[in-house]
Formats: sequence, structure tokens, C-alpha cells
Amino acid sequence: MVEQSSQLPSEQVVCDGHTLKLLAQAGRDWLDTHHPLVNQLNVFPVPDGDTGTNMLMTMRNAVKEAIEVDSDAIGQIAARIAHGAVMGSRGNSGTILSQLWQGFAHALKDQRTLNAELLVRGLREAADTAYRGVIKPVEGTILTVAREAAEEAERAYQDTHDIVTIMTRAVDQAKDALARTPQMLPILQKAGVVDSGGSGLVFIMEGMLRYARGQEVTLMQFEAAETEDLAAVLAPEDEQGYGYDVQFILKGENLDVNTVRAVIDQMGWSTLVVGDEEAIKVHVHVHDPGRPISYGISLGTLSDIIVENMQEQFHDYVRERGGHPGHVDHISVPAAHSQIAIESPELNEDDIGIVAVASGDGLARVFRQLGAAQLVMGGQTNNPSTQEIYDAIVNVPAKRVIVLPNNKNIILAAEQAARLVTDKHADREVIVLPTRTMPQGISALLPYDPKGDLDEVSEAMLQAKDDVRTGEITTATRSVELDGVNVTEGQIIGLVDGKLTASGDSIIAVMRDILDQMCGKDCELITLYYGNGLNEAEARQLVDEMSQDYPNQDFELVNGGQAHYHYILSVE
Amino acid sequence: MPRTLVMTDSTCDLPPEWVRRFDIRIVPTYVQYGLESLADDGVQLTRTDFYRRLATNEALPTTSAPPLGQTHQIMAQALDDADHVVALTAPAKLSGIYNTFRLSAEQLGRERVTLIDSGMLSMGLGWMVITAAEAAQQGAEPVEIKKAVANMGPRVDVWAALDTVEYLRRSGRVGWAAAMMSQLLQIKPVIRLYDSEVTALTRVRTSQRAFDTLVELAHKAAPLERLAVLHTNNLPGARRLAETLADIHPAHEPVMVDVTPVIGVHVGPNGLGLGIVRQS
Repeated sequence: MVEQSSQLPSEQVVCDGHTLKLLAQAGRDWLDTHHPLVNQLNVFPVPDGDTGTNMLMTMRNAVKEAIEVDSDAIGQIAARIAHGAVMGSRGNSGTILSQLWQGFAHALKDQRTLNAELLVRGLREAADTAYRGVIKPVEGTILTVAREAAEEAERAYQDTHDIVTIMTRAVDQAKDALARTPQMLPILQKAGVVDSGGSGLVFIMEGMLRYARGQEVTLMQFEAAETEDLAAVLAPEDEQGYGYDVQFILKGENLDVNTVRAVIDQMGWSTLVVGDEEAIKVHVHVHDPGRPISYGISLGTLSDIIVENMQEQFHDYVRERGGHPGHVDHISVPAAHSQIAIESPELNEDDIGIVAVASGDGLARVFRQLGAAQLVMGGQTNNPSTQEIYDAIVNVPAKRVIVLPNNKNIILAAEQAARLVTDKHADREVIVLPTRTMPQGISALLPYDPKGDLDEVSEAMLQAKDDVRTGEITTATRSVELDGVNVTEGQIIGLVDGKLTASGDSIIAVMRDILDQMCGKDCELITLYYGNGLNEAEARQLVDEMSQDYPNQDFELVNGGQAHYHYILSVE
Repeated sequence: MPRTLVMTDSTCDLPPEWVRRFDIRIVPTYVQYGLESLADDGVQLTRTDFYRRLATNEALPTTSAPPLGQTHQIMAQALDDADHVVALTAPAKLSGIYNTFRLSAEQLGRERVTLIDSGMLSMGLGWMVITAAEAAQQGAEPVEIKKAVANMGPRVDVWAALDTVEYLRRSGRVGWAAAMMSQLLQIKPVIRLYDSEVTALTRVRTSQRAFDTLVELAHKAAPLERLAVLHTNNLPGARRLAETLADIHPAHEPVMVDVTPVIGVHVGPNGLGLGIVRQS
């Protein structure tokens, strides 16, 4: 760590191997201070670990190796730094960083001190070597940042031979290139970030420059003003900012991991819930850290609680995002589940799209999350019209569409709509799968592959629909004797796969009855979709009771939001 | 001195006794807990430790390619011990490992190293390495070894039934992982690695259905030349899968592999998989 240093300006001060060690340390420390930010920027589909961490580990080893060398010759120290970087490199970003140092060291070979010409040549060789170090160089990455810095140094050399001035211009250009990385790489633009490796390099170069100018380079101190130009291109995770990272271990008895996961997931994002009946590890990002913790306490005891304010860490950066291209299309998952923003699948004309009928807003969310492109609201007492289904089909951007009616009374209307569509649009293909219940539709949707062959996909979906059994619990609207079951108006009744098989005076009694019919030895998972007349607490209490009877089964509770049916169950 | 040695990385998941038998040179890959970096060589980080740590309240680790210098050292040693090195790696598309091999080969002499991007992981890569090692042991020329591996490549498949899609989503290495999951329902993906591409074959909601899907896939691919049962800390499941597939086992015993933590980070615990080679 470099505390405070004397200035290293102008030509008259000699930059030798000793100075390079201090410069490299400053680069390392400045990166150390900022590496969590660099990690946050990592959006590439092919990262090796966290970019900031990888680059920091590479720099640490580079400096460590250099410090051990007793020499003032800059060429020797640079070579040692490069060797240390190569030996300590981690991940792609670390490898590229090590190649930058190798190129730089090559240019300085056998030199005792640095001058402007060597600096310019060093930056150039660094960039060239780094480009060669990558199989397919991509612009908009650390490579671009390194190359533009080198090019600017060459231009600056025409005007001055002052090392610090050249370095200043190179760093400014590096920052400028970094800010433009989202324009070069769509994936960055989409995620609303600048390139992580490029930002790591900027921090290293900036740390070195700060030292050269005699500015402080201390660890763990955020200097927002210095990096303000980064701020403009950083988007927060959603409109409410970064929120809190909450982690804890929940200990209790008969804990249901899936239920805990479902509940926690509805509170925030980046959810990770793993464990068993006795201990569950919870990790989630939320805006209100009290919610997951209160929920945890309601189920058992908590330990190892960690709450980190991600907002604080980034508030200097997340200043404004208005009007910048960096914030388009980011995935936003607000805490309240009723507002879960669901990305509609991006379908091409050649893909297969799904139209699903859903009988409640919660069920609609489930279908949507599993990939349905269009939803038609409707169910037992409000069957959608052929026109509504027709409109939904033609609104799917894909030309091939599979329709999931999810109710036996809607299948015909769906088939009619399908015929109308294909009569009118010769280029469209529509298949109606005869799903008779919501759980059948959900099960059918599991193997859906938008890029697949229509016949194969529909065949797989058709088979999958029968992987579940459906239970439905509602209130009888009239007295009747049906299928050998006597029902009085106002009683609770239970249906299994559409057939009336149980009646009773309470929901729980009927649920016990139908689960007894549905859940055999092989049954593994029971999903309960609760209706719009119930609240989550009631439903959860029922799940707690039922899980006593079925200790070997997993229960999942989902807000289905359907009318009339207290519960829809799927058993698989 | 052997004429050709085979070199690979630790994502090949080969059982240690085979590594010894063929003198295969293996470059470790790394699991990183913050700034603590552990090689998955079974010494610095064991399977047991890894899964124990995964179940505790630590932040999820990340993974990283080996330092370029380490690959360089191991390759240099192999070139000291043999005339030629045939090196097979994890997919360049999914990891930086290949690039460390490529740079090392360039520095040490491209003409003495035959470098192959296997496009595979775990025993998919493992079977290709074994094929190369067997050929090398029988004195095949590097070019013949390369041909044998290339001939085998299209017949190699890896399938995995994951207990949850969450690890895959968090790893960020496959773009579709986030899209396939549901925040409302627990989804278990069945995935395929083939020719450097990780794709989703289907989604299921129960482990029995996941198990059945793997069995179906294996039966469709039979007759098999090689079969390895893969798992992430799920030995009982792996045993049951091996027994269920007894009818299509190739002549030898099925290999059962607890996959390396470096892959475990991305797929999570309690997964099952198969690494197979179809008969030609």
C-alpha cells in the first residue's frame, strides 16, 4: 500500500525500476479499492470468476514478485512484474492483463530508466501483445481501452516528452474508450454497464497516474469524483437502486426448502435458497431487508446474518441514468410479486410461440415465466371467446403457435380460433394441445423449446401434460349427487382430474381426501395454487398442516389468483 | 522416453487411477472464495470440503482458469518428458483454460504440441483424453491421435439433470439460464453439452422425472461405446442410475464420477449426469 508519495513530475525526475515498483503498487491498490465495482460490472456470458478479483490477484502476484527483486533497472523490474502477472494470472481478464505487462516489459528490456519514447512504445507493445493473447479479439473490451490509451500516448508524444502529461492523456483516453464500450458491445448496452476488464485496466492505470502526480492512493476509500465518468454509464439494478444483499442460515424443523425459496424469491432477486429440513441457507437481494429476515424468524432461528447495503457501495456511481443508452432493457424485478416485471420471450417469426389461457393473475405469471408469449384470461365461469383466443394467436410474433386452453370447456373455442387463424393466414401453423386443467398446461409448458421442430415440441408437450394429476377445491353452488358423491349447496367439494370425488365441510378435510386419492408412493411434489379469496398466511398454514401428513413430499405454494377455486393442486 | 504424452485440464474428471496409468498431465483449475483461490486438485480443495462450504453461509464461489504460468510449467515439463504433447482442453467458448494452453504452446514451440479444443467437459472430455492416451501408449503418431479424437468427437455427449437452475443462472455462463427459470416454481433443467454448446433439453419439476429423462436419453443413444455416470455430491442417485442403465452398459464397469468443484459451482449440488460415447 502506498500512503503518500512525493510527486514524480517532468523529465528531470528519473523513473527507474524502484519507481516502477511503487507505480505498480499504486495501480494494484487503486484496483484493490475498486475491485468490487469491477466485479459488479461483469456481465459477459463467458467470465472466469469475477473480473475485478481476477485482475487484482494477477496484480498482487505481479507486485509481490517485483518487490523481491533487488534492482533499480526498470527493464528488470518490468520483466519481473510481467512474470509475476503471468504466474498469478486468473481468468481471461487476468491472462490479458499479464499479456499487457509482458508487452510493456518487452519494450523496456535492458533499459535502466523510463523516458517518454519508451513509455509510448511500452503502451503500444502492451496493447499489441494483449490483442495477440486473445483467440478472437473483440472491440469494446479491455483490448480497446489498452489500444486507445496507446494511440493517445503516441499522439501526445508529438506534443510533449513529459511522461506525466503523456500518461494523463493516455488515462483520459482510456476512460473515454471505456465509456464508449457499451456502444461497441450490445451485451454491455443491454446490461447497462461498461466493460469490466476495461474498467479494471482504467483503475490500474489511474492508480499509477495518481501516484505519479503525488495524489493519495489509499485502500478502501471511494473517490467518486475521480471516476465520475464511469457513473454515467452504470445503471442500478432497478428503479429503486441496488438494495441490500441479505444472507442468513435458517434453522428449524421440517423446513420446506421449496416453499422458503418461493417466498424469498417473491421478495427480491438473485435468490439462492438451499438446504434441508433442518437448515436452509438463504441469499437474496431485496429493497427491504426486514422482509426476508422476519419471514425467516417466523419459521425458526436465524444465524450468520449478513446484510450488506449494496446501495451504499454504489451510491456515488448510481447517480443518474436518465437518457443514457445504458439503461435500456435491464431486468427489473421489484419486491412486490404483484408487479413482477416479466420479460416477454423474444420470438422470431420462425420460432414457436405459446398462447395460454390462465384463470388468475398469479397463474398468468407462472405461464409467462415459463415462456408463454400471449395470455388469455379466463377459466371455469368466464370462458374466453374464440375472438380473444384468435387475437392472442395472431399477436404472437412467431408464425407457429401452440395453444394451451387449460380447461376442458375452452378446448373447442381454441380449436375454432386456430382454424380461423390458419384459414386467414396461410403462413401460420397453430396446434391446440388439449390441456384440461391449469396444472396440465403448466406441465405441458415445461419442455417447450421455441427453436424446436413444431411436431417434436408439441409431442413432448403433449406427453408432459400427463405428468401431473390435478386437484381442484371449490364451494358447491348447488346441491347435487354426482359420481356417487353427495353434495349440499355451500359445501366444499374436491375434484380430481376434473371428476368430483370428495365433499366436506372444510377445505382441509377435502384437501386431505383428494390428496389421499392423488398422492401415491411415487408422488414427489405437491404444488398448491391458492385462489383470490385467500391470503398467503392462511394458505401457508394449510401447507404446514398438510406437510405433516406428507413428510416425504415437497410442497410449493403459489399465489394463483384464480376465482372460485380455493385451491388448484398439482401432484407429480 | 515416451514419444507422446497427453495433457488436459482438471475439468476432465478422470479417475486418479487412470491418470496415473496413462501418465496424463493435468492442469488444475481454480475455485475462488473471494480472494482465496483453491486448485481443484483434490488436495487444496476436496469434493467434501467444497460441498460442505457450498451448504454453509458463504458467498457462492467463482471459478477461474489456471494461471498462464502454471499451464506453461506443466506443458514445459511434459515436453521435457516426451517428444510431443497432445493437449485436450475444456471448450474455449466456456472457459479461458484453452487460451492458457494456446499461449503456452506458442511460447514453447507450436510444432511439438497438438492442441485440441475438445468442446467438452467432465467425462465427455475424459473419454476423449482416454482415447488419446490409449493411442499414444500404443505408439500412434500425434496426427493419428488427433484423427482418432476428431473421429470420436461427434459421438460424445454429456447430459445433466440439475437439481435447480439457480447455480447455472448465477454462473452467467449460459445466457438462457435466466430465461428458463421461473421465480414462482421450482424448475429442474435437463441440459446438454455438445460441441461447446450448453443447451436446455427440457425442464422438469421432480427428481424422478429428471432421472427418467436421463435414462431415456441414454437408451436413445445406445448402443454405447463408453458410459460414465456423473453426479454432484449425489452418489446414491448415481448408483441407482448406473443400475437402471445396466442393460446398456458397454462391456466394462460404468465409471462413477463426482464431478470437479469447478463444474459443481456452475451446476450446483445434487445433480446427475451422463458422459457417453456412442458406438460408431
